[in-house]
Amino acid sequence: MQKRWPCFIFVLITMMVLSFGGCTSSSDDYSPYYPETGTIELNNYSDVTIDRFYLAPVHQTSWGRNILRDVLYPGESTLIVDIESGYYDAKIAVTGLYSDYFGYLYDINMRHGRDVVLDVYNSSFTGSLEIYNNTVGAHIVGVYVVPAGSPTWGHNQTTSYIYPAEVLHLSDLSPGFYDIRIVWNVGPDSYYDDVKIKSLTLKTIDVD
Amino acid sequence: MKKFLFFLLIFVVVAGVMTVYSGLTHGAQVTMKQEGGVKMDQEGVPAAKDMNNDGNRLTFIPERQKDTKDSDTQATKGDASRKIQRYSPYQYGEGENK
Repeated sequence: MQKRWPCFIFVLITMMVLSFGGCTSSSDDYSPYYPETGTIELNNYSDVTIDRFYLAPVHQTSWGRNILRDVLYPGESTLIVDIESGYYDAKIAVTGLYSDYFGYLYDINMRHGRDVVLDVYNSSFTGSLEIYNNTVGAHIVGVYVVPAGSPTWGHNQTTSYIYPAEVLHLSDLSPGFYDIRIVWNVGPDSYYDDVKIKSLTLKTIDVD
Repeated sequence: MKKFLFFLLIFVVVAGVMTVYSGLTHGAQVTMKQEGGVKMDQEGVPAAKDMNNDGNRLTFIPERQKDTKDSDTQATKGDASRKIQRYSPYQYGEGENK
């Protein structure tokens, strides 16, 4: 009778091991499914056609390629699927009749399986500014454009001289009021205060 | 008399249109060209706090906050007389004093 105990204990341990194995397998089969990717719904509620859409992880230094397969007309929506978990920055771009305009979103949280809705309105876009040299003989050596009320003039927005009848076209300005200073090769500087920049609008100033 | 009134009416209409769509800032001619079909007056600019909230519905804002580089080139091309550049955002305290 005593010799049967080791055999019994061996059978008991074997059954327990098999039972644990079965439990693990069963647990895997019924564990909830957490998808690794999320979806973005992009809604164009603006009156312009969105030409490009960029999505980059927050620490990436470049926007990468445009991920829109087709342009997004006013009133249209599109889904961008299979976006890996993480934080993203997004940019939209419009090529209008007069200029390019942009809209931005930062630190979009794409958690596991999360669906995020991104809306675009007319006011989501930047505006543009043109400086036209309307003189006959003077050229512009400096263009300074800063938000109205700023204490300093910032840095020169032009990298080259603007000669008579030439234009400096600046895009990607946030809507608002700006102070502008034009520096000429001869004569006193020109100042324009409280110039209003609007979304999806090109403002042209003929300076002389 | 009718001719005079007609020309006066035309003058008033033209002056009104010019007042709305262009103006003079310290002697400079200012022109504004809005993209076709855009109805800006129907909506205000959303406040920043409403745009980047913690929910899953977000609205794009017209403000570049990081210097992320473009991989592709700008669509609108310049020419010899038209130099196209991206605006370099102002950093507080940078440059000469006003």
